[in-house]
Amino acid sequence: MLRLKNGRIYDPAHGVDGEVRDLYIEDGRVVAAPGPDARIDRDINLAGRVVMGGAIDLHTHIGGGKLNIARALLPEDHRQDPVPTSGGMHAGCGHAAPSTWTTGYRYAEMGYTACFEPAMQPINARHTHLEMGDTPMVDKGAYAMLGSDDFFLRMLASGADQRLINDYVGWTLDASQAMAIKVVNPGGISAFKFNARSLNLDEAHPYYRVTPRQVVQALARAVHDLGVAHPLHVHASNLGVPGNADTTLATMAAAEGLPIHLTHIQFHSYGTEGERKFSSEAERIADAINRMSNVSADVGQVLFGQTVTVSGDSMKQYGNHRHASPDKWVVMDIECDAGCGVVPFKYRDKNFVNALQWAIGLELFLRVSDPWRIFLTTDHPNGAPFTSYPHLIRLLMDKRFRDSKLDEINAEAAAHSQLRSLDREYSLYEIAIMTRAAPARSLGLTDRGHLGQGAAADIVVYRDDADREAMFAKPEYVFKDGQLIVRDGKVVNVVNGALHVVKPEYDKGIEKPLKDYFDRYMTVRMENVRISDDEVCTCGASKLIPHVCKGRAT
Amino acid sequence: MTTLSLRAVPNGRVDMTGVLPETLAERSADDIAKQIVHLAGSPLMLGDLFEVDVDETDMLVIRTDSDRLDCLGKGMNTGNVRIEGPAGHYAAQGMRGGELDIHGDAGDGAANGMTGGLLRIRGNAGDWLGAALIGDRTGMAGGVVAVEGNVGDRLGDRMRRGLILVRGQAGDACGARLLAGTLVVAGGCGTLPGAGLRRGSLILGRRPESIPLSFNDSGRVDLSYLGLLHRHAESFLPGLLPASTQAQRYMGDLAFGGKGEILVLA
Repeated sequence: MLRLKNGRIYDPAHGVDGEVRDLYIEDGRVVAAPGPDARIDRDINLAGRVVMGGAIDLHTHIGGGKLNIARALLPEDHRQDPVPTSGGMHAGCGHAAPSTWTTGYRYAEMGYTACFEPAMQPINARHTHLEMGDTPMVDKGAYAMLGSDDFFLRMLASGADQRLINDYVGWTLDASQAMAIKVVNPGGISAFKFNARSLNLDEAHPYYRVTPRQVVQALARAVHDLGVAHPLHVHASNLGVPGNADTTLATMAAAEGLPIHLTHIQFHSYGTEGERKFSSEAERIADAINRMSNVSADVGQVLFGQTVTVSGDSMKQYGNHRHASPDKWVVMDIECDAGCGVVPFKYRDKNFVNALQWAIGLELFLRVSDPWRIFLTTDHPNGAPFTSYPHLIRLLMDKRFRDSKLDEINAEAAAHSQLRSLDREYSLYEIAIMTRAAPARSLGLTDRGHLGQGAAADIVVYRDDADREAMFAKPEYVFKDGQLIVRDGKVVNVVNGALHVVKPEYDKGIEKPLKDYFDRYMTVRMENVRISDDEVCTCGASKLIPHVCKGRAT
Repeated sequence: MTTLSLRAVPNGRVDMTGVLPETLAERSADDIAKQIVHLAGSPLMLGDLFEVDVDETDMLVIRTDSDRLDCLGKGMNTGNVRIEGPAGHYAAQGMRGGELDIHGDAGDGAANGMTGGLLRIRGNAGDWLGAALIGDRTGMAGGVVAVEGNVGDRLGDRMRRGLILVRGQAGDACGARLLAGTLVVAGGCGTLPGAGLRRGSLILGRRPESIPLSFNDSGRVDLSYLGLLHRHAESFLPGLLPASTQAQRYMGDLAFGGKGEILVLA
């Protein structure tokens, strides 16, 4: 038994806010305090240290075809950031699109113990799982992308029964070994292939004649009915378009009270005021989130520097390609399932638009009052690489630091933003909510993100440093399932991490029309798309953790 | 400045990135011995591989009888380096200034992505001399490379600017996809010279076995710039080019715009 003595514990799932007490760990689990005669094998004194659960990133692009395209596209990204092999760790490279190994090590070195890939195309699921299997240290899971696939749009267009749609969504989750469902630019990726360059929430798809609103509603209903813990994960229409805040608000309303998660909402909070017709609508968006308890969001914060944007939203990525820096890009279709766009991008602090994007993200963080419903992400690598999280945490926790950075950005953007008037500083407790307890709850991970009895012993110990960036960049200890994996911000023990999936109940009868469809139109047989439990276990994850879904009757 | 003498043949390839005049200047021998390099991907100290001597000159000398030292002079900006022995792969990769003088052969990928400075190779060079860094779309973009011996295939592939002078022979596809710049091979070359050449000049001292079909024989021409080139080249490789300004000119590659040329001097 391992005892962590006298740590200052932040465990928001149990309302523990900086209470000093001991933690006991046995067989990879947090256990209750044993009697006085229990044998303690190892004692670590953590007086003055901050103790939290392992951090969970619920939206980070760490696997799937688009990352490999980004890697192939950006040799300079690799060349400029080589990581030599050491102590049982693989060599690797890459700043914005790091290799799988490097991704896992760097996440663990910041105290992250679970990461979720939000855009797995069902047809590409095998690749995604292989890549996630090669990402060591952290637990993984993926969200299957639906909403622009031909089969679904055909069903919707023909007015198929919601129960049939539920079965298809259930089958997709099951066959692709996914954790949740994501929709990207609902119907828009498909519309792009019919030469549409935008598709508004209530605009009919040029071919199927269904609207993004219908897509969102059908999928949100399906996810809810199947009992998947994580709400429909929505990358809304009109990403990055000035004035898209109206679409975003309408999308929230379109859920009609069903749970909905809006991802990288920073990119969806733009207005058209001012000389440059680009302004912040963070206040309206944040107010809506505060008002609607069925809505959660992650921010997708922009931080300055070179990165690469990877997205299934080929429509918007095509629109962005002229901003590519360096000047090269890829936009492609993937088996009529969805699309893929990779555009390298450099966010510049002296650029009006980029600077305002930065401020809008921070405004959203500070204006949404409930940290249980807003998550810390940069939409890695789209807003910034995940390695910038400690910097972001400092921006949230330290107003003086934030204001000093505000002085450095494009002056016009700084003047337009209300960021300076926001005095809120996140507390450690709130950081623990938004990076641990809340994502665990949102994903239905009952034994992660907290430090109660029976929880998986994913534990991070930080030195309490006034410089929060330094503090969160280099945890003193990180434990994964009870094993010490990181010491002083360096990996000391390489582990593999598990794969989380959901196992919804659905009617297997859906396989009959699906099989017919695959035989007729697709390049792969339906049986070969499906990934079995046995197969997914050979992809590299240490084990498969299935989550039962309690289906809700329609 | 400093002399590094390789103690024994290393049991893997050594990445010498960072061992440059600009990083070693004014440092003690002990301090230099602690500089980190990588052997087969794992870090170790320079002093584990080399004898380090510091002297009064302003030259960095690397004594080696192994061709396993890669990335010599990589990213170098200034100063003088002499390699007494063979260089491994990627010598002068991304070099921006200064002079790297290799008294021996060089491996593959020398002067990849070079943008300035002078690289001299007294022996032979491998494939892809002056070509693009792996994954890049343009090759060498400045500076001068002078080779006494022969070079391998794909000499100057996608070269963008600068001057490469070769006294010996080149392998196949020399000057392939050349974008601009000047490539001189006195000893002739293998098949497919200038394949995919866009602009720039590929100057051959001997007529190759065949000129690709997508080049157009434009007859005998008198080009005064050959006189200038002759004078310029004398300072790097004396006697490389004849004083004559006459050449047989082949315009091409016509499949790629045809704005470049192969000049045969003989």
